This record gives sequence, C-alpha cells and structure tokens, in this order.
Amino acid sequence: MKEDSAQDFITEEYLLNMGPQHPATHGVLRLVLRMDGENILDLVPDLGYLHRGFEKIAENRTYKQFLPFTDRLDYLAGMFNNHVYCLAVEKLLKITVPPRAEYIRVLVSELNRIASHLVWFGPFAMDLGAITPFLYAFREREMIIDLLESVSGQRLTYSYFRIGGVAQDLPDDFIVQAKAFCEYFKPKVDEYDTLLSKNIIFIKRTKNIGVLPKELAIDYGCSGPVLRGSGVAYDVRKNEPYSVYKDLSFDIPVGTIGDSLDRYNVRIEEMRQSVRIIEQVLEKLPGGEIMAAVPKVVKPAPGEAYARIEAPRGDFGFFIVSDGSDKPYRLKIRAPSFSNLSVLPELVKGLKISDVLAVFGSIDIVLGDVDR
Amino acid sequence: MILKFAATIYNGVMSLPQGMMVTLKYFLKKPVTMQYPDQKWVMPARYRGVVSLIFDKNTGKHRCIACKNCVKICPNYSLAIETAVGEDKKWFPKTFTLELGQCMFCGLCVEICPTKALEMNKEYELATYTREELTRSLLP
Repeated sequence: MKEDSAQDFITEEYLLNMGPQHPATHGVLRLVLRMDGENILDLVPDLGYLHRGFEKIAENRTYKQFLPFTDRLDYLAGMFNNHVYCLAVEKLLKITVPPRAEYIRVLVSELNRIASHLVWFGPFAMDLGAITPFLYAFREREMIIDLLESVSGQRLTYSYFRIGGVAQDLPDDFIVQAKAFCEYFKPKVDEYDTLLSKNIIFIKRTKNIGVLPKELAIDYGCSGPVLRGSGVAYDVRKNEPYSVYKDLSFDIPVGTIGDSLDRYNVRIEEMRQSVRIIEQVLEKLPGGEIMAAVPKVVKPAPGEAYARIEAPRGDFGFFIVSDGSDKPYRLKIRAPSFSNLSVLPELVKGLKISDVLAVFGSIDIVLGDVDR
Repeated sequence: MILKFAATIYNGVMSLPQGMMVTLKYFLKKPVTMQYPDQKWVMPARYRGVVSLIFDKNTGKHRCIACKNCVKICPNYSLAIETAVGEDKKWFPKTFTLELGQCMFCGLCVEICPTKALEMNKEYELATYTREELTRSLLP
C-alpha cells in the first residue's frame, strides 16, 4: 500500500434528494441538491406533486362554481384566494361592492393573514430546532380559526366571499370576540420576540444566511415579505390600493440586506400591523348591505380582467378572459409562492445543508399555491 | 479574540433563561389542549358538515321539489336526483344521493335551494371503512 493513499481516494459530487416526503418542505416538494461534501453547489426544486389543474378546471365550471376551488390554492390563506377571484370577476361585471362587505372582507382577510403568518412562524422555528414557538403559534392560530369558522362555517376552506359581496353577515358576537382577540394577541407577539427573535442561537442561524439582493429579488419577480425583506417597500395594499385599504393607516415593514432574519422580522412586524388594521376596521365598520345586485347567472361581457391583492405570501393575481358565456374562457393564476420559490437556488449556493432549511423556511411557500 | 468568544458564550447563555421564563410562566398555568376523543367540540351554528335534507319534526316531510338546482350548482357533481311525479302531479325526488367522497363542503347547494330544503349538519367524523359507505342517500 502506498503511503499517500489519500491522493488515490476519489471524491466526487453527488446528488441529494430532499423530499418529496420531508417534514421541512411543508408539503410535497422535492429539492435536488448537487453537493460537494457538505457544501451545496446547486439546487433544483422539482415541483408538480400537488398539481390539480385548477386553471383547466375553471374552464369547465361556471363563475359561481369555481369559487370553492380557489380555497384550495393557498390553503393557509383561503380568504385571500376568494378575494382576488371575486375582485377579478367583479371587474369583468363592473359591479361595485357595498362598503360593509368591503370592510368585512378586509377584516377577515387580515385575521387570515395573521393565521397564515403564524403557520409560517411556528414551523420555521421548528425547522431550526425550537419546538416551543410552534405550540404557542398554533395556540393563537386556533383562536383565529375559531373566529373565522364562526363567520364562514369552515376552518380553512372558507368559501365565504361571493361575487359582489360576502355570503353572510358577521355573527352577533363576532366584533366583541375579535376585539378581545386583538387585545390578547398584541402581547403574544412580544412573547415570540423573547422566545425567538432575541434568541442568540436563532440569530446565528439566520443572520447573513440566504442574502437576497434588491435587484435579484426584483428580477425574479419576488413579492410580499421576501421582496420587502430585501428593502423594497412594495405592497399592493399601498401601491395599488384595492378594497378599502386606502382609508386605513398601516406601515409597510422593510428589511435592510435581505437575509433570512430580515424576512423573519418583516413577517413578525406585519402581524402587528394586521392587528392595527383589524382594530381600525372594527371601529369603522359601516352598516348596510353585504351583497351588491348580481345577476343570477353570471355572464360577463367578452373581455378580460386582471385583479391583484397582497396575500400573505405576496402579489397574488387572477387573470380572467371571458368570451361572453357563463364559464371563463381562460383563467390564469399568478401565484406568489411560485416566483418566490424560483429564487431559492440563487440563495443557497455555497451554503451548508442545514442552512437550506433556514433559507427555505424564510421564503415561506405553500405547495398548493406553487403547483395549483 | 478570546474575549469576543467569551462574550458570545455569555450572551448565548443569558438569552436562554429569557425564553425559559416564558415557558415557565405557561408551565404553571392550566393546559390549553383539548383531549379530543373524550371531549368533543361544540360546532358553531354556521358549521358546514354533511349536506342533508331537513325533515319537519311533526309531519316528517321534506321540502324538496326536485328542481335540481343543487345538482346543477354543485362544483364537483356530487349530488344526484331521480325525479318522479306524484299522484298530486307534483315533482318529488325518488332518489337523492350524495357522493361524500366528492363533496367539498362549499355549501352552494344549500344557498341556491329555492325552498330551503337542504342544510349542512354538524357531523364531522366522516371516515368510513368502505368506499360504498361514502355514497349516502339523503332520503330515509
């Protein structure tokens, strides 16, 4: 045996499959990692495991029938999916939604945003090894879901919005309970700060990990907290106000360098801002109708419409082409998670395998939204 | 260098009890977990469970007129009605079946019903042993 046998030892790159059944991919996503030892050379996300073909289904359903399907897109934020679909159809029909319905829509949407961010917050901490925040986050989320269930009748697949308004008025004790929840929730966010944001292990795992520069974020079409974490103050609620957001005052939190910690901080701050919005809406909630006059059979004139909103994961859009029949001729869904996921390979190059979870968790995707 | 290392360790050790204080506070409080199979949820009034026909408590009759609006609106085609004409020359449903495996509990059928004959009950433990059991008849 030669003395310098270490030189004969052949080392080579290898492929590592993360997923589709991996707890940290939050759904069915396969990440193919090209590795050199423990260092990541390249990453290819392999999508499509949750593809259900909603865009095609829409072509075979009437406008009213397609609404329940939208719940299943980003299943953690069903209200937003309903909202953007209704906005697009209302644009086609040129319907004005009554003010009370608009306020109710904003109210339930912002509650849903908090719930959605909590589902990101807990598992993100758990991916990095902290189990306690997960339990606390889900305790608070349960209260929101109970509230939304009392309004809509379901816990996740709400189907609460209708073309031209909302399905039912708020239940009698909803406003009291929502106010109580706001009071309860405000100190909880500070508690999360103590548990996680100020924890040195957490900061060391996320600071300067997965830095997304401003230009790259814009080039890839990132939106939502991922874009704002990189320091771009772009929020559809402010830049192109829909519904009643222009009457409400709230801030857009932005990060500085765009690392995982910045994206984390943006979302935590967004939860506080959502509570602010909810409190304002509860104060301002006007009386009156909850449904506009909508024809029994929705048959928009030939044409097209694009509507977009700020969903918890970013800029969410629906493009509908109508040919004058009662079914959409073509429906295109612009999913924020899809664009946000596409930037992942750029972020993880040169990092270690354990950092993938920190970066991946911080961009917060939902596979139902990515695959559609 | 050593000083910086020591400072990092000090900061790390000091940040741990802060988080532990939060958990300790909840450790001394009552648990929030509901022991599910022993305790059951009280479903809210609007809960959307299984679609069922409303039967009048006194007469035992339902209000379905077999107009098939619910069959037409159903996004997943999970409802089916066979109609028949009764002796009083009124339409009534001879069979009324629900494919529970296809239903997505959206409640559009309940909303569209002109006679308010349908409701969604509070049932939520819907697992069955065989696929056949998922096909339910809404009529008794």
